[in-house]
Amino acid sequence: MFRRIICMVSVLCLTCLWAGSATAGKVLKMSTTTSTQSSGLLDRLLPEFTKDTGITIKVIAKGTGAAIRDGQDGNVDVIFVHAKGREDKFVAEGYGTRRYAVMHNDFVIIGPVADPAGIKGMSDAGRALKKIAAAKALFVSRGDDSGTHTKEQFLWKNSGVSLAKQVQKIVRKGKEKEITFMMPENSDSWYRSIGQGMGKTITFAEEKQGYTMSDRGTYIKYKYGKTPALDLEVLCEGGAALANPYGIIPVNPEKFSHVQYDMAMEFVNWLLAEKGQKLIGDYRLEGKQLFFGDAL
Amino acid sequence: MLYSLHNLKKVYGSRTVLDIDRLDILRGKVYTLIGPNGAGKTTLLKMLAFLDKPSSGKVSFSGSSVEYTEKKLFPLRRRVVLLDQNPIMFTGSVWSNIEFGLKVRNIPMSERRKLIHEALERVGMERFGGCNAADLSGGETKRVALARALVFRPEVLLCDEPTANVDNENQEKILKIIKTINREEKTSVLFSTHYLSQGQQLADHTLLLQNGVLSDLTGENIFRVVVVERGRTTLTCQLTGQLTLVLPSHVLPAQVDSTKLHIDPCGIRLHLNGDDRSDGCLVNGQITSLHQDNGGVRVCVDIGVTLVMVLPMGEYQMQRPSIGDTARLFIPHEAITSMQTKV
Amino acid sequence: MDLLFDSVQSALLLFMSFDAELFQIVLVSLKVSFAATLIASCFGIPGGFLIAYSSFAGKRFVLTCLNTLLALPTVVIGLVVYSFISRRGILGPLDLLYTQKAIVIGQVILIVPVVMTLIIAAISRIDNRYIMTALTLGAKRYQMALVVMKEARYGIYAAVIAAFGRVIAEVGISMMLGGNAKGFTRTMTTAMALEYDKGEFVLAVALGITLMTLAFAINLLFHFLQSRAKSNVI
Repeated sequence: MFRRIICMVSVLCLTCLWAGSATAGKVLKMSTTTSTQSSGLLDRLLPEFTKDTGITIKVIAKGTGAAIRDGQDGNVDVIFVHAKGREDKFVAEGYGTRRYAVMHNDFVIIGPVADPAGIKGMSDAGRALKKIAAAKALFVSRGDDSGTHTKEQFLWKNSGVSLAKQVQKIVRKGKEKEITFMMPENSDSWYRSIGQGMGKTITFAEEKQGYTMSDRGTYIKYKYGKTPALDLEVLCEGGAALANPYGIIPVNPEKFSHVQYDMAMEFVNWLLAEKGQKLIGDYRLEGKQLFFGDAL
Repeated sequence: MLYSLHNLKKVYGSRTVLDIDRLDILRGKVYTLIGPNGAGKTTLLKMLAFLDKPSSGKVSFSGSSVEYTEKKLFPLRRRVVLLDQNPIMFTGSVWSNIEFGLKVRNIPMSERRKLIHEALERVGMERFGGCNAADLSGGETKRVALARALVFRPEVLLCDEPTANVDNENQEKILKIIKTINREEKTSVLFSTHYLSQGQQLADHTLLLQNGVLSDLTGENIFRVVVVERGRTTLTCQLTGQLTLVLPSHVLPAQVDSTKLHIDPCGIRLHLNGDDRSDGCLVNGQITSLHQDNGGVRVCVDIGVTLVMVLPMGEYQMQRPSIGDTARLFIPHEAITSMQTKV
Repeated sequence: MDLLFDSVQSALLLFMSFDAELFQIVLVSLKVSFAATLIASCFGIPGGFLIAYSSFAGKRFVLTCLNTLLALPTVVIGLVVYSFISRRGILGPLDLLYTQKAIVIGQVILIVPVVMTLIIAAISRIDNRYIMTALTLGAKRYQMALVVMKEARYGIYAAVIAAFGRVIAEVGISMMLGGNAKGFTRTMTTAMALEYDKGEFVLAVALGITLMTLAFAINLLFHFLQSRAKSNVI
């Protein structure tokens, strides 16, 4: 009996040791959006950074909302996201030290080849959305409070389509707080909010032959990097409203003493310097440029 | 002829539990099947109730040979009924339990009611119809099970130890019911019992089953005994001039003062020092012969009469009895069976 | 600790304000789970009986397979069903993907093995004398099966409850086949996963509390029905 217990305990210890050893060395924790991860950009950048500095970066890819929340909870050392308004708020509330503009790409509105709402070739996203709403053509929304969703809500707001605002009351830190959610009014028949990542949203839109808004990177990946290829086309692109800037923010060490601010700054400086910016600009996905450096 | 069995064998793995060369059972009679625990009584009853099939051999029922396919067995099963040793009640009332056999036979409601009343009356449980069957005592359960079995008037009633684990009062009632239905309804009855009971009185025939084999009643280890003294809990039987056996008093009913006893040769043990079991009799004798028998050793001991015992090989090798030795034998009560018959 | 405290308060707030969205989510969850449990029971209970009571070559193998299927990950079911009902799949024209029906299909596949194995276990625990007694009293095969079913009813209830618990708590299939579309296929679990992804932990835990409360209420109801059935034996 004793021997059995000793055996079990030692197996347990070994398992713990093995699991623990994986996180040894200089490690920086970063929360980022799924778009940087799934576009493959990070796979190009991070090995170079590790080569230059010896720091490994542990990437936690989530929606922008959750990534920012990770920063607010001090779970990570740095966040790399794309929702400028919320990033500024994050810094203003003291969770981050400063927002550094890293790069931008753009959003596109994609939809079925048949284009029932007739938006092909438009560049004004607001007008395109208005036409989709008028045609009651199926539109699939991320609905997950991500950067892309934030952008989409912003575009709806400026499109002139009347919106419904849903409010949920919750309690945070003992105080009542409201969570708001905007979507076009009376849109049950054509607006689907699915609360999932970009890839899933594109798949959903393809399955149901509907419209959706995507970042260009994820779209290219699904269109050119996958067989069978996505059978949705870019129908609206290029307008100023569709620009998508990315920022990086180190988590404030005054708020969370355990964060590795120095290492975080080392990454930020590397990213903003010539080498990082060149890697970003040179990155090609299926032969297409995705990101444009903003720092130089 | 009701049943006719030829070369019937039932084998579980490497163990033969039933091996009957020939057995004929007559219609309208009462048979009792006796033998020690594990002799194969239940297996034989299940076979006769068409709930089990033989490994080999032939069974005829009412003159036609039984085919062991589900389709052919079903109509046969509806003509016989087996009452389990420890009957189990279906969830529900006593009434619904008895109703079961009628329901599956699609007997109309009005007739059902009449039959159930009769059956309950027959077993003296009229007042219990509405009771939850799970709340009955052991004896009551057996009586309800009997009513449940009799309600659809089977041709054959097979009972596995109907009087086991039942108090004296219930035992008598059950035996009386069996007697009545045999007389009045001409139901053929075959019931088993594992040792001495008053039941043998009502049997027309007695079958002795030992290790799956039907034994001849005039064979070895059968002795005529005379009751010489009745105590409160014990009863003393004289075997020969100087040899007596002390048995529990329920073994023989009060009015019986002479019977044949059968002693299972496999049940008898050499008595060792320090072994102080009280549920049996001790006898002394001299070993007169030893021979090998089917994996054991057959030992004949002269205790005034010749008593045969079969020792397992292991025990033989430990004790090494030899001819001429004085042996002390222990005969457990359960190895003794009363052979009272009316034949 | 704060999180838990906030969440309980939020859950109460959601209940008391009859939050329309919450009720819609709960309704979808219940509807889908009940449908899946009902259909799976219709297949699983007779299927379990059939396997328990028939002897055939390879029965052991079938049992082993069933036991293996208990560990079937929801993602695998999701993928397989997806490949059938997606627009490019064989059943594509039926337009099932991202509907409640799709979730039900996946969940039925998930819990049929659960129901079957539990039914087989429940039946094998039933005293053999019930069968013998039913047969000797003249029951046909199906009548005997009804007797066994009646005697094994608690095991059957337990199987159904376990199956229901499995589907209402399941997230993989609902997400992959339902698509978490708000107001259509958003269930409690997919909503929780979403709130977690959004970083709204308070709301996620509040939904979790709702789910647990609901499961508790349903089990209480089952228990109540059971004890009523018990006292009405006649």
